[in-house]
Amino acid sequence: MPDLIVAAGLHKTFTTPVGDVHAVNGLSLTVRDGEVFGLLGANGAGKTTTLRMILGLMKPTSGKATVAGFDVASQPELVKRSVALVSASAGLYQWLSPRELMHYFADLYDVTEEQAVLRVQQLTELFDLGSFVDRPCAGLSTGQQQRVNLARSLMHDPPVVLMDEPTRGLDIVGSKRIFDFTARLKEMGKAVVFCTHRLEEAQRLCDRFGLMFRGRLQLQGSLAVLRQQSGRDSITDMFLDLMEQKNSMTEESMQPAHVSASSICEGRTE
Amino acid sequence: MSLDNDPSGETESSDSPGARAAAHVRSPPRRIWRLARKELRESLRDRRTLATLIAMPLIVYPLLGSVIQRFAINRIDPNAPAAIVVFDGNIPDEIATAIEKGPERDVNPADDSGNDSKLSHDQTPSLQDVARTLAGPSTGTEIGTLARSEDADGPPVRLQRYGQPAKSEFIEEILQAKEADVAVRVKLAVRDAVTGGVTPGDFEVISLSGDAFSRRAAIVVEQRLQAFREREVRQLLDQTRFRSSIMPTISRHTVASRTPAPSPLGAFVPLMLVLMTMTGAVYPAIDLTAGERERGTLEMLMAAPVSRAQLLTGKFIAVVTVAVLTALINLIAMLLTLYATGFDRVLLADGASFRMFFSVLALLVVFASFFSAVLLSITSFARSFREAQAWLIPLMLVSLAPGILSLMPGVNLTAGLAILPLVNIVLLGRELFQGTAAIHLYVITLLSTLVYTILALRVAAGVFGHDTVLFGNSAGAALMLKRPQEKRIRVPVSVGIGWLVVLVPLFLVLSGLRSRIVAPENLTGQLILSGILTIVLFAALPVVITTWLRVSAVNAFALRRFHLTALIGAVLLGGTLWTIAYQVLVFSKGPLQWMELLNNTKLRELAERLTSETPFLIRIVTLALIPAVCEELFFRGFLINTLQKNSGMWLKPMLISTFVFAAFHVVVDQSLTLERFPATFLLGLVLCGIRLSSGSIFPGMTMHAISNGLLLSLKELDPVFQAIGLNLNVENESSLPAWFLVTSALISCFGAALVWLGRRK
Repeated sequence: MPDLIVAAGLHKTFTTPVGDVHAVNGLSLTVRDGEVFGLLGANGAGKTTTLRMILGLMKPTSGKATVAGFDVASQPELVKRSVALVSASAGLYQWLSPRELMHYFADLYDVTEEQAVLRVQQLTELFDLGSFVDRPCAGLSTGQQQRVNLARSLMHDPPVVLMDEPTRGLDIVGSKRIFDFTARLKEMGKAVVFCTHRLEEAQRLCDRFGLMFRGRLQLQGSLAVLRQQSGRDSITDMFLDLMEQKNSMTEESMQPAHVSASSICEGRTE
Repeated sequence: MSLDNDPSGETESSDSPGARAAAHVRSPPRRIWRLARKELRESLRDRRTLATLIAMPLIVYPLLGSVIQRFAINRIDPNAPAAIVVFDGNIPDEIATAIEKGPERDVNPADDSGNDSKLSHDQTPSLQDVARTLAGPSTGTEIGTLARSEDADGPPVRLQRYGQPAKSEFIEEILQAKEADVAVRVKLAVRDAVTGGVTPGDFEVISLSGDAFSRRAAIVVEQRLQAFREREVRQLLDQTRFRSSIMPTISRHTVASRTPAPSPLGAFVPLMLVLMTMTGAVYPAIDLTAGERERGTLEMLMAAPVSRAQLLTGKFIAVVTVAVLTALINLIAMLLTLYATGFDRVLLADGASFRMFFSVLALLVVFASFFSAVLLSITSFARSFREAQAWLIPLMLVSLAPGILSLMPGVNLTAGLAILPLVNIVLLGRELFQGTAAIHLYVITLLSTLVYTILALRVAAGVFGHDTVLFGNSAGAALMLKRPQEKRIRVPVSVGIGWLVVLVPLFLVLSGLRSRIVAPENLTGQLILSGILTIVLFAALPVVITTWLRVSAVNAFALRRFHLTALIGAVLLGGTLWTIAYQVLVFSKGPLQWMELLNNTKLRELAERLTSETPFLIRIVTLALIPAVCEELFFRGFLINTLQKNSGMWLKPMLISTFVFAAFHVVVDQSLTLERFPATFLLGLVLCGIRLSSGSIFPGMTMHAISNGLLLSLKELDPVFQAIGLNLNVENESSLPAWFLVTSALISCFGAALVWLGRRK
């Protein structure tokens, strides 16, 4: 099966008046179709920056990434057509209705009118938007808004879905809906990157994991591989160990956690 | 479709994404139209947009109209405070009444018994009367008993008698105590021995000096006295065989001038329209940029396969449309208000015509485009609604300044002012309303505004959706000034630009303060202070900044070794390039003269005084050496360092630094000498070139010092020039001889070649 996302040695450095900040430091990963990859880490670990680089919203300082075979740096438009971005921080246009919003995004992605009408109908059913699809977004609840946001992002039916903290701010019912939906995406053969700092929920959902800390992927692989490497059962314990270990080391003596392509393959075959 | 409940939904997912991506791509104009349509739809549904678009003009103009009307009626209201006239006790009551009531009372003497201060109901001034009254001297009228003094500015004056006649010697005191505004004294009263009546002698009308109201009242009193005297004379003549018809009559008529004197209200109307158009554009501009970013919709938009330029164009069209709609509604509301109140006859030369309406509307469309582009370039910087608002407050204040300038009397649209943003629009608007706009000024205004629009859009396109704006956090000023741990190669661009922003007002204010410290007559003292100021602002403080930020002076100011060939080249350039710069200066004066922007008599005087009143050495040190060293350190050292992201980047830092360099040289002794800009820009470019090619500041410093020094010593060097058969005639600022220019240019080229040969490898 093809790798829909390939990132190799991604670096992102922000220059600030007080010095350079390495937000992402030599990150490599691959995600194939029908796979959910959990990109896990605390706030500020570099997860969102990684997603933005993969999507081409942000230029990497160095490194390369391809999505669905398209190079992020040289074919950004084709990359964007292949990706759906679902972000908790994404808002909706308050004065448009969910239907108008979906049509607007269909337009941006060059979906034909007929296709768009059909797609709006399907997504409305899938996310149960029927009761408010023609009301202005301003009056919707957080859960409803998140559902509209999901529907909006899938209007162009892309092969790759990037989810940035999709359950943030949602209650149990809302979160469950997101999990069910992610499982459906997997069934449909999409390559999904699921970014979250809620480790337990990720553990249930994802096929493989990448634990990010201070801009680096410190551990990567399936749950079995991670358990073997860390000697811990739960991802939360692994993460706490990692933090403790890294905090005790000075920044200078930290070993670069290179995640080579081979280790990724290892992780996958297990 | 892959998302239906049928598990066979893989059919579409198995499509090649590339094939799907390539299919059915919309053409850019269609795409932009759809983007704009959505932005408009969203904006027009927003209550806040609707409020500025429709509610404001519908409320503001009628309100403003009624306020002006109220204010105007107050000024001619029969019940408004009257001017109190105190009469000399010797003045017969008949004369006092004639003065107080005015001529009409004689026509209808029955009124004398009534209350003097009340006009009958049908005498209440109409709005049209008010408008005519305010229109200015050319349409002066009288309303009821309100006398208009033709020789004085201002509304008509009503007179009222002081409680009781005063004794002649107390009249001044009453005026001084402000119990009355004007007094009438009779200087010589003669009692007729036969009839026993009093024949009045000479009258004296006394007013309070420096009190405009008193002066106007005095003029009215004087006119009525004269009218009374004339009537008396006519009556006397009628009793003789001559009859009053032998007396010539004088009548007074007015005719409106072909170019009416601009009334302050004339500029107020277009200014109001411009301000309302601005208000209309502000909200959508913030909402569609900073607002989108704050709500998190901008990232979704940027994640779509649409170029930033297309997104921005869509937003621009939406903002302009809302602004133009605002302008249109305002224009209609304003014209209706003017028509209803009768002010149209005052402010509009030929009344409201379709031609005037459309030319004003066209002007507002161009202005709306310009202002929308400026707004977008600023709001695209902002990360939140509040930040955008904070940025826009200074912009609005800055925009008010030219607007107020255009309200000043005597400021008329010239070719020079027609290129000044905002001023040109307000002044042209005024002329359009008055029907006096010249077609070439209309064209210059539209074209220059169009150019500014394009420039502002370019800035906006560079900023909108840029990485650092989209995802960056605003680094506070405190962070900017925090001392870093490690050494650095460059001063961060935010600090460099920040210092520049501080430097400009500091330079202007401190230059102005010079004359407070040393008397302006003491030119030597002024020069020394100016030298110290240059050292502090352009060298000492930048050195403090770079030291604090741990940037080595070698890097920050390019204090590096250089090739001797480059130095020789720079010396040759310094010795000859000034001639070309001088010629450029002479040429630059022509177009500026045409634009009426040249006003250098004061500066020429200053230059002459400098030559005659200050020692040569002081002039050379303060005007040639110090500027050469400090300006090179700042413009070619500090600024280039901060503007370069890497050593390979040169064009942008060079252009920006040179532009700032030239702009600083335009301000001389608090006057703008625009003619200096092209010449200084040329010199700045060459100096930048030397700095970038040699890698060092020193050759440029040498050239700068020689060039400045030669320009300053032209008078002293005159014998030398005469000896080689050259009459420069510098005092008249005439062109240099062609052979001299060509020789200089050749030597300059040779110098430039040497600089190139001595470049840093």
